[in-house]
Amino acid sequence: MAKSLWREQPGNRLGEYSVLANGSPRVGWEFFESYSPVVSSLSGTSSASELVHGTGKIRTALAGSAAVSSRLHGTLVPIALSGAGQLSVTVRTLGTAKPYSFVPFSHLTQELLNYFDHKDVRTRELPYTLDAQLLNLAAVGIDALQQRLGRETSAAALETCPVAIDNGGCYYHLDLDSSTDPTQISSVQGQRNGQWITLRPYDDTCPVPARYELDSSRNRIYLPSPLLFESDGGDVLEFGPFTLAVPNKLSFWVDVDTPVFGAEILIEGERYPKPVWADQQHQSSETVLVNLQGAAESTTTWVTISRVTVRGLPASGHLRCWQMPLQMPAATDADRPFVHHGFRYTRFPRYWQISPSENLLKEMYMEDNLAGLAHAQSYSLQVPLADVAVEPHTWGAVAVGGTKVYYFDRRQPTPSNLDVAALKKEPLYGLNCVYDQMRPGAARFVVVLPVAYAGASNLQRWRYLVEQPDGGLYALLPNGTYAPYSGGAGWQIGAPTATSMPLVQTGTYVITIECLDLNGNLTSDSFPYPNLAFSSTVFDLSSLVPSLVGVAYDSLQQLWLWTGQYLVPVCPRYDAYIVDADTRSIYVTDPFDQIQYA
Amino acid sequence: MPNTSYLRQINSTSYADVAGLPFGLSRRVGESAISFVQRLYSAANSRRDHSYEGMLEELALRLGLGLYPGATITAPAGTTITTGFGQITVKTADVQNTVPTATVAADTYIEWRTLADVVADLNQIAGVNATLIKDVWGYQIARQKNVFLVQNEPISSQQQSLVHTGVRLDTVLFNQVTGTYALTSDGKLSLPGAPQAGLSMTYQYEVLPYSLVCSDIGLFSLTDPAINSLVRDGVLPYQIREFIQAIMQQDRSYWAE
Repeated sequence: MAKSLWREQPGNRLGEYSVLANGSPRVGWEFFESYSPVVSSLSGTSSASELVHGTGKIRTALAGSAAVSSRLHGTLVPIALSGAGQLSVTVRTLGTAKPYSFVPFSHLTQELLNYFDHKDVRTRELPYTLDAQLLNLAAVGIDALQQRLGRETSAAALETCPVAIDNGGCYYHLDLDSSTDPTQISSVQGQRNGQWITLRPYDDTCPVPARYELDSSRNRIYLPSPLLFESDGGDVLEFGPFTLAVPNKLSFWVDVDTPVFGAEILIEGERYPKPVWADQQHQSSETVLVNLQGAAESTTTWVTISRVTVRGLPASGHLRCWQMPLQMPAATDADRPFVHHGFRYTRFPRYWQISPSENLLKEMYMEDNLAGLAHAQSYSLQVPLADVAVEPHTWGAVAVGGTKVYYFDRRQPTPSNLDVAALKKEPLYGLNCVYDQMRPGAARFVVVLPVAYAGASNLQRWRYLVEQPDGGLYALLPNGTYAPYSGGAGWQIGAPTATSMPLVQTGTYVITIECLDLNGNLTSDSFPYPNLAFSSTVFDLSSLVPSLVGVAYDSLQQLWLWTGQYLVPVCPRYDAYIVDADTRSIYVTDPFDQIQYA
Repeated sequence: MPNTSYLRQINSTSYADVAGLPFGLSRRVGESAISFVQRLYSAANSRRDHSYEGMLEELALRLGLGLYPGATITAPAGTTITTGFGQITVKTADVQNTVPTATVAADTYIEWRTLADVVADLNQIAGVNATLIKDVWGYQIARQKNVFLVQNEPISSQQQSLVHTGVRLDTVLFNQVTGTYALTSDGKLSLPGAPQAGLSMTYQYEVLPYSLVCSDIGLFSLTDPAINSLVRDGVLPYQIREFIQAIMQQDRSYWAE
């Protein structure tokens, strides 16, 4: 294949990949989190090319061949071709595919960091310090336990019982032959309709589908609008009756700018399932309290709504109600609350939001629970998305746009170059880098903030350096522009000032502040700042739907795609396997005519 | 590379299976967790007792079968719709119409009619309008009635809406003397004064339009008086006799020994 950039998708197999650069300045590979591929060999022909592994930490001249062996997580491996000519490079990846061998950056890490005192600014507020990296390992472990615990406790009620995980609880079993060591199985293939399909290990915490199919157990349903009603606030508001297209919980979005006490939504109607016997049919009711801005949801699954009564919503407030959470202002990520370094014990609701004007998929949080959505993280989009839905009880999420469905891991990837956060000597000034909320747009900006440490008064000169994800090194000037890197570029006199700079590449920027003290000693502090791009496994459903504008899970955790006119039921198929060494068994998720393994 | 085509469908122990424990239900092999939880939802809202409804619900739950409306019947207020073994009776005012759901052939063999044919006959009754939802055989029509009894509904205020509408005013009984009261068929009750403590009311109410409940299997009682309608020349229908024979074979207590 000849591409300017080959991107390892989570669903792709490990193997041997080649790219050819012909006049293109750069080619490369970007590996994502599903595997830990090892670049075992890399060879090329170019007299003036170099291999940049990671973001410029290892440089190997390519004179005929070169080899590097390292684990690559979400890092770009660019091959720079200097001057004219051709570059042919082969990367061979070895090793067994390992689901989730990468370390995500946990949403709980900041909560652990918040146990440090407010005065420990560097430890408490900087997300990628060594302390944070160590705590993140613990946080990831806690994440896994919390996910499991959440599943266990959710199973106590039918309304929340996890049913869409574990391949729906159904597998196909085969016994291993006596000569096979079950611990050594690295390849399982299944034959369907004469075609052999390579199966993937099944990961229940974030099950990446192999394909989506129409769910034959459900019908397409005409639904021109999922919104049941919307209204400004008032003393007592009444809405209804409504007949729901699909039995479901009601979803609300509340906009208020002042604290609300005692505001409630009374829902009356027939709950799911509606008894078939007339004498068993009766009205039920549920009260949903809405004290905060953002999303709310009924607990009950409703079939019909006779009346919705809203009391206590201030006149300046606004309420919207959906029968299916399609195209809501943002999708709730209840399993991953956001923690701010300024609020030790507070967990804010986290949301996913698509920003078409910025071409970004954003993680937001409800700041102070009243002040509106604030930026937590963002991912640049290669294609526009229309809607996003969080998969219940997993780390996955689904987005739609055009005729495509995108499945992705909601957890933030850990930036590369984390080693730069290590300090051998306390610098005169430290560095903090945060997303610039004042400069929204497709090109994201980062605010570079100097933090004075104990020796700050000894400062003589200082400068900012920026290493881009492709390895390019520049001096960052106080006005936010770049200057070519040299030993004397960008030095400033006086106290360091904050600046804001645009991020034009995706990947990890390493931003450094270098300080010279009065004795000419150099100290520095570096900050790895990830400027992330949306990464997903893509499914083209053009054979099933003309276009997609919405996606949602219903109260039974079944996936619905919305064309704007119809709800289309689809279900994921995994084509995956689980090896149980104890029972010498392989369990596959889907039926096959034959299975072979090695 | 080892190769096998012997794949056996198997269930894992899912969270849905755990949720099913309090309901005493287990998942069938190959039944998805979502389908099972839907069954559990039905179990949570079912009577599951030894009444006819409860037994039919329990059978449906355990076997994974369906209970569904087969037809909708609209009729004037005061109409009583009753289904029994082999027939549906519709009593409007003083006129009673019986529509058979089965016929008996010359060899006393029961031939079940389709619900579509039954609906067509129902539509011949003056004032009755029936609409077919799902066609089934006559034996799949459950035993049911569109008139229900409410016993001792508490009355706690002078003006009160009863739990049910369609109240049959001639069936109302209070457990205490109330004086002159006003009651409408839509369940609006007005007492002459504040109710005494412990006042309750027993009444019947009707459901119209009425959805005819059907099942994937038929369930009937051998003591159902409607069986008489299928007796020809003093002889029980062939299938009934077979049922009785099977029961007597299973339960020897019927035999004098």
